[in-house]
Amino acid sequence: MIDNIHKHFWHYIVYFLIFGTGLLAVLFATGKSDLQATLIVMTGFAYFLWAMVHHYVNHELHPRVVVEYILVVVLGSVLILFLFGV
Amino acid sequence: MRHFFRHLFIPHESNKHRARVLHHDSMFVIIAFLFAGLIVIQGAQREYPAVLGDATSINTQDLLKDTNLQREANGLPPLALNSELTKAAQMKAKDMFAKDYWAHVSPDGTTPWVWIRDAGYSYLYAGENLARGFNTSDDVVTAWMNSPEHRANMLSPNYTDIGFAVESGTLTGTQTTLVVQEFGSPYNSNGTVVSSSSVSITPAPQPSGTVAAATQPNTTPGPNVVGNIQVGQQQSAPAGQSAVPNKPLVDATTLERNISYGFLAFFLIILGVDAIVVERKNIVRVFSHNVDHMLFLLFILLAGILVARGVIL
Repeated sequence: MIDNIHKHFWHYIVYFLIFGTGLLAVLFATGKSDLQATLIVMTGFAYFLWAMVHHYVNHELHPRVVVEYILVVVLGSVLILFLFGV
Repeated sequence: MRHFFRHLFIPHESNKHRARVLHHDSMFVIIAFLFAGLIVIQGAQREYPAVLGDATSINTQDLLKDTNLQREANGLPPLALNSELTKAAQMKAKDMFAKDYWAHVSPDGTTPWVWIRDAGYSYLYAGENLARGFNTSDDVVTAWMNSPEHRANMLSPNYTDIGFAVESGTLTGTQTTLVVQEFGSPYNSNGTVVSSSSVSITPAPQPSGTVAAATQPNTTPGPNVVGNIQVGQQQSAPAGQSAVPNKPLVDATTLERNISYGFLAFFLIILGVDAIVVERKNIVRVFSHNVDHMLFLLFILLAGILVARGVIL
């Protein structure tokens, strides 16, 4: 993993920016649950897009990779739905 | 049994060196199971609220007691529960649920002062604190006391009366318990006759932050009849309006929170163990995204904690 981060330094800068920005946005949207839910789902989607670009650049954009990221993002989104009591 | 658990959770030859629960088909089943669970919980909440519902122990008596304890600790006289301010708080809470907003000023520009005046309370000073997403009265009062603006309202010597509303409902997409606290001192407090010319007009408060004490531009000055209800008379308030007596068998919020945090912790551990075992055994994988996924799930966990906490305004 560390080697991977060194190798794709700028990819991982974007990766950490996505989550950092997402968390800050959720924090600033305190009290606006609808907006918070939207921001969390948008961050998940941004993670998925990042992964697609990252693996495409690395020539490893296999359908199994796409499915795995979709499953993880959907899993995260379902678990956050529990917290919103939707 | 040991082999079965190893097959499920630890990378091994039997599971092609990837924990079985992380295989795509397993994850799909878990997601489907969670979706079904969500639907069942929502249905049970709707059909059997006595079994599965939102439990909260917030009530007006405790809020009043805790507020006055804080005032007494700071050398201030206690506030008296006032029926008009209670009515104003209830109107405000109902308006927030009806128009689905979380702010001191409604989307159509209605300020807290309008509710207080409409409830029949002519005030010299007035203020408002709001809270949502808390489970106990103590937590609400502690949160207000930890915020300088809200604390200023709680400990203001300008106020003599107080009113509360505790209402449950869906606000901005989330099932929550809303607490409205209205402060005031009557226009003719201490027998002082205040003429309209001596009362300055203060601009309406902005939606952000706590509503500061305001002076009422009363156009009809004169003696006001303010119906004070003392602490001991609070029980006479209509049930379900000044308190939320929800005591279901299972608290839905806690159940949903535990399921969410439990599954997040479970997947974080499984992904972590998987990454460590693969690293230690030098297992070659064409694709390995465990750490990427772990950070995403960690983001969900942190965002969930931010979302689930009580907030004040």
